[in-house]
Amino acid sequence: MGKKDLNIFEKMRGIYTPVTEIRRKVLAAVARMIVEDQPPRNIEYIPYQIIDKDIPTYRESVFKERAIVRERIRLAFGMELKEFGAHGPIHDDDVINTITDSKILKRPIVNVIKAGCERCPEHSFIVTDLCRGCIAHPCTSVCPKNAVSIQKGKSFIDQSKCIRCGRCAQVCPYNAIAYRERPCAAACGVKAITSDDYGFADINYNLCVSCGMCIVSCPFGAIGEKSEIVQIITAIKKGKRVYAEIAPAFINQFGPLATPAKIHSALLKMGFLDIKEVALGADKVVLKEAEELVKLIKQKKEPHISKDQRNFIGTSCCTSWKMCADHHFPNLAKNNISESFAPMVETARVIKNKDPEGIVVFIGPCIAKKEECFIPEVKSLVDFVMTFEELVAVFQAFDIDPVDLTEEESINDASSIGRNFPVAGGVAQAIIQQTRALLPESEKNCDITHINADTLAECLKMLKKLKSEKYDPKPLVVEGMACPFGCIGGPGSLSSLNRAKIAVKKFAEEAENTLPSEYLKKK
Amino acid sequence: MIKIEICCGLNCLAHGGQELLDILENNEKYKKNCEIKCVNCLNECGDTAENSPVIKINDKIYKKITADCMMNLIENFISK
Repeated sequence: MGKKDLNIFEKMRGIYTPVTEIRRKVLAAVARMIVEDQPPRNIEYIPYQIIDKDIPTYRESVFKERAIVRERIRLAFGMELKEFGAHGPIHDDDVINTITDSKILKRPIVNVIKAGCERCPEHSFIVTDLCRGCIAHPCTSVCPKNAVSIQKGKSFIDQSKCIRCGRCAQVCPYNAIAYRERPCAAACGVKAITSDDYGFADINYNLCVSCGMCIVSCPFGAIGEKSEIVQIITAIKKGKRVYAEIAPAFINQFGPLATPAKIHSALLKMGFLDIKEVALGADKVVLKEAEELVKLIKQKKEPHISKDQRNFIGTSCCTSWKMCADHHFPNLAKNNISESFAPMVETARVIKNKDPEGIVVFIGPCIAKKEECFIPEVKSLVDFVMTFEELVAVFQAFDIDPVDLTEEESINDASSIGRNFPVAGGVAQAIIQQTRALLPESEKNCDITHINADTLAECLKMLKKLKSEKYDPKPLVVEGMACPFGCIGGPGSLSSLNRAKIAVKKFAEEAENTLPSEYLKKK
Repeated sequence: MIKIEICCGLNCLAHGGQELLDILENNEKYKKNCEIKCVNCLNECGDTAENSPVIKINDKIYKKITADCMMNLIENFISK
């Protein structure tokens, strides 16, 4: 008896692999180099620190292993990758330019390290050794394109004829026909990963929404994202006024012993002036979207007067989901998805209102937020973005361990429904709860239907169904999340999903207020 | 009862400690036979986390331990 089939997102997550190890070690080494003020040419030593053996461990030669680490280092500095064949020293003038406190990040965020890509074949059905060449050979009978034949006593699939319908695999009594796909392409919900002329993975940046799922799904670690840790550390070291805003998914990401208060102390010790919970911005977004929903419910009652084409409230906090909806269903998205900015932006606004000159660093599980910072309005508010994984590397470089610190001040910026944001379904629930509180007494118990989807492939399916109006009753709140299980499944997260989910719920219960409207008015 | 202490310091956490904890907590057999405890940094991980993850089984330190290695060890202890 086999175990339950896992989807691509569940396969490698929560397992510590050498790919994860290299990724984290590179980040830590780069961070350490900047923290210790080492000269830029020391960047050349890092590949030798990471790949310190003389015999190959992961690939065919140590030289290739180091070449790939060099590319990772370039990404960690926020630099562009070097094209294949253009390999020079990593230490060029561009290294010196990256050691600055201003933003140097350029598109694209998610990059294929071609030297590391093993050119996995594109998706296809293949006959495995399990084939016994049976007399019945139903595979040949069901193929609509006549692509399956028996050759040398075994089943054979002519790939030029195959349309990948999977009928042959379905009928094989020995399960001898397997579906093989590229993990990166399987993880990409928007089908942005193709092959270039040589078979290396290639990202179509017109479609890519920087969700980062391919990064954590590639078993060869050939896809990486640019990082801003070098600029963040430089800003802190220069004594700039740097503020941190930390996403609600942070609970339990740094281990069961690192309580929110300890993380708060650790961030302060690192040199951040103040730390705000992004759940505060989440509360503001909920309040805005709930007000939109109240308006929408009113309109629905008087359909003859309203000229508004709005049918539902689409959540706006997940950047990848919003970009994906805008691209594939522009009209639907324009009419229905909320105009309000993501919680990250709202929280940054609170900080910038107090200190316009301050530098705001968003810390979260999300890579798409790096992409969001290219939007002009966002750019002026959020300066840098760092993932939890990168934050751990920076902590390691500063030699700060949250577990060893004392709890000074606990974070208390937000309501419990704002803190519930990072779990799939949390945003929709938050909006509904807040809306019920805003509605007049007589309407409090009216039906507010909602749907939600996590992972981009599911989101696109949901949007397609919405467009063709297949839902009954029609949903009023539509939540989309690009990552499996919501933000806690983000590519920059460290904790296992189950543990994160439980911890987020517990932290939400600890909040002093349940609804954003209760305390935002007080402030 | 086998006493297992998992280092939950930052280095070990980033380099596989959390995953070891997941394995232990999701296995009924281990939960029944072992006393699992998360502890502060055991100070065995080294400057650049080269020895992470570190765990302590019955007061003996095991460095740079992998998941399969840990499971083997525990199985051995249980069968003793």
